[in-house]
Amino acid sequence: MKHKDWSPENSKWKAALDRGLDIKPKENDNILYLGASSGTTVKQISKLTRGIVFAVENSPEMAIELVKLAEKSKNIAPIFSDARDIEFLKKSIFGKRMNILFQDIPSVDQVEILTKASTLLDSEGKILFSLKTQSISQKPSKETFEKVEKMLGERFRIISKISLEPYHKKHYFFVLRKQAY
Amino acid sequence: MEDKDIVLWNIKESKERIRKAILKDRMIIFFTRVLEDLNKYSNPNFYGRMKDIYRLLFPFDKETDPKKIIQKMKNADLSLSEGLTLDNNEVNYLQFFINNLNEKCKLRDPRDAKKKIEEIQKSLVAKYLPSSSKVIEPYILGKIISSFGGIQKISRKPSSTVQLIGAEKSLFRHMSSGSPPPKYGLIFYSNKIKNSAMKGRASRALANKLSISLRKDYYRNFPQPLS
Ligand SMILES: C[S@@+](CC[C@H](N)C(=O)[O-])C[C@H]1O[C@@H](n2cnc3c(N)ncnc32)[C@H](O)[C@@H]1O
Repeated sequence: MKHKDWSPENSKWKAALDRGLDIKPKENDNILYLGASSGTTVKQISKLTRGIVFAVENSPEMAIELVKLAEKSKNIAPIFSDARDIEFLKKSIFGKRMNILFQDIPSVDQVEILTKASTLLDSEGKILFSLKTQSISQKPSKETFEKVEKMLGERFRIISKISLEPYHKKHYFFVLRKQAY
Repeated sequence: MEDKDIVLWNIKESKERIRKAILKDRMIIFFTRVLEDLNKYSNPNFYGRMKDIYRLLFPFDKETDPKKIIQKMKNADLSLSEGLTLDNNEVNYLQFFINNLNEKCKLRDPRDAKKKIEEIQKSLVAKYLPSSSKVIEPYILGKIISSFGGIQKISRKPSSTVQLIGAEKSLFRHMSSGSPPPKYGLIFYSNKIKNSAMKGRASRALANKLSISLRKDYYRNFPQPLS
């Protein structure tokens, strides 16, 4: 993967932006970014806000690159942790409310991870969720998509949903909000 | 707390946690690969290997020039690394290797050095993989761990994968052209297989044993990061 440029091929956030989704961070947004990898997207996003981008990654090799990137920037807080470890995430954000929660973790329990992490999100905050249907099940992509959509619908308000083809095969992108009580 | 301090806290905390996730199997892999180089070539240079070990010990450093890396490694206090934590013996092992490299990054006396490196590799394996080192020769064990990319990855794989690791080429040939499937990978080179009449069965049994002992060694002698 090329490191320098930010393109829809190497970033799901960028692909979704290019598709016209209203997901550009505001000037002072704090962002919780789950599945940061070496920080290709994190780097670009951090330039769009003066808030903090909390970038969570659980692979040591990737997290090393992320730390190096954070040392060169001002507002990236690297968190080497399993995104499921909500207690540690809570400790690491020092009571900041998150305005955007982004998740790009290909894993069977990705909706569970998202649900837990959404407790750290401001009630007005936005959730950006990248879904790779193949990581959840071997069943046809459409079937899995519908199942996940239903699960998400029970827990959140679905604002928009799109497919990221052809940039990312079998990937979908959701914009969600917390349900009002 | 101010944003600036939150960022700094997370950088520091992540560095510490990453450090704990760099496991001692890296030392075994390092010395195994050095031995592999010495078995393959008569007097190889070790620029690439020095880069590898530098990245393990100083993962957050930005130096990429191999000459400078070697200079840094020669002068550094290896017990104070930001990455892999070494005990006294391990510092000595590495220093022996580094101090024996000449200005071309080759061993001054490859034949003698190799003997000593074999001993080093063996004692690392015996220390961190005591059960497995009773099941198979230390050099083969090192190659198996190196092929998997680490002990943690092996602990999640079934014994059939352990049996076939190193046979990727013939496995691929089998899948694409239907040639007979491989029965053994690296473990074939163990004397336990070489000297046995029923090689297929023996390699399955050996892989089973090894798979269990590796898991045991992993859970007993390595910290499990992020859990
Ligand atoms: C598809 S990549 C993310 C790419 C990144 N979003 C970008 O645009 O540059 C997914 C990342 O999630 C990480 N990951 C997987 N499971 C995780 C978990 N449970 N907690 C934190 N990170 C995880 C992987 O190591 C991998 O680096």
